[in-house]
Amino acid sequence: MALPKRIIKETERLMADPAPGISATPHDDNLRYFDVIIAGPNQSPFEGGVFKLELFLPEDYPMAPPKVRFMTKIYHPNIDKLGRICLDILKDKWSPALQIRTVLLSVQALLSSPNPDDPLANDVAQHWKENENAAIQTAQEWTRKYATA
Amino acid sequence: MASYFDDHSLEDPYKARRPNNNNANSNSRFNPDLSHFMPREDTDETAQTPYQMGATSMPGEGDFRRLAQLFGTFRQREEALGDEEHQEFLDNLITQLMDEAGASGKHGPPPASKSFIRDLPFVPLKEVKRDDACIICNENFQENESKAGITKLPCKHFFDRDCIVPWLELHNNCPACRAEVPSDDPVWIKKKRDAELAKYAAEAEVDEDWMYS
Ligand SMILES: [Zn+2]
Ligand SMILES: [Zn+2]
Repeated sequence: MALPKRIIKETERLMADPAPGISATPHDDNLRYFDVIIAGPNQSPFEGGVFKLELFLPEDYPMAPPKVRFMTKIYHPNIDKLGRICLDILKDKWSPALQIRTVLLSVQALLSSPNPDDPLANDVAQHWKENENAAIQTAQEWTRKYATA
Repeated sequence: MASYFDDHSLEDPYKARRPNNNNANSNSRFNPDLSHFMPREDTDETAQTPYQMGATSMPGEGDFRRLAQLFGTFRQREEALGDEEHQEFLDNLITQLMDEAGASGKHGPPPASKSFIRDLPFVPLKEVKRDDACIICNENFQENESKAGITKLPCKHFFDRDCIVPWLELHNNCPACRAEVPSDDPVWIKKKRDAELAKYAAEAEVDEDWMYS
């Protein structure tokens, strides 16, 4: 099936004019499947880390959101053990006005501002709420251990 | 690392679907392809396939839920045997299947009402600004005049008819500003009515306060 023009346009723009700290490269054999790399934002517990993600555009994209998951282990209250991300625009707040770029920028922003009140990884969120400094320290350790290229 | 599927001499559905997964992270078990677990369509011609889309059969909500239940019974057995690693693996799988059961179009607001979609206005091309593009397909209206024409929502956002109708058939809001449009969904209608009643009640209370103060 032919790739919709919108996906081609989005991909071209992602390659020609990537967002700072984000790269997304489609697979040669499946142009709906992207290897994504997000650099841990400065002044976040993930600073210095390089995080791999997978992004898949389902058949009904852009009527349905992209599926995005972290491949690199990360200690974050809104990202679970399987790398699934708790982000409203990837679920009930999706709109076809959003794009791959805006989705990845939102994921990057989530790294800068973890939200333990809307958790996906409950134990991590609890840690974050009870002892933020200790949780941040664990997140930094995990970043060094798993997310250093 | 040997995967669950290697340990059990099963075909790893993850590997089967992703040819380029020979990197360091390939042992993650994302996205099991359910077609590996599904009975083939041609083996049971009497089976109903209500979720069938197009020529290939897609697993539907009910399929995911049934599989989740099936794995739930496996999990209970593993629990009895005290196998924590398998329990955890099955927990993850079940969560994922339940997620899938609620996915694709099930998230978010209900569909727009049939009459609203039917009565969408036709907008003449001259009403649209030269540089305006449809945010769903990213095409400029003037350069890429779609055969079905242009329409607009009550919030005054313009779209190709071909682009906005499939969205409204899933959700009753504007992709650009999220302004709501009518829905036939009974839950949505009830919520809307309750909100209005609450508003009147609040206003009535204010009136009373004013009268007796
Ligand atoms: Zn369009
Ligand atoms: Zn609007």
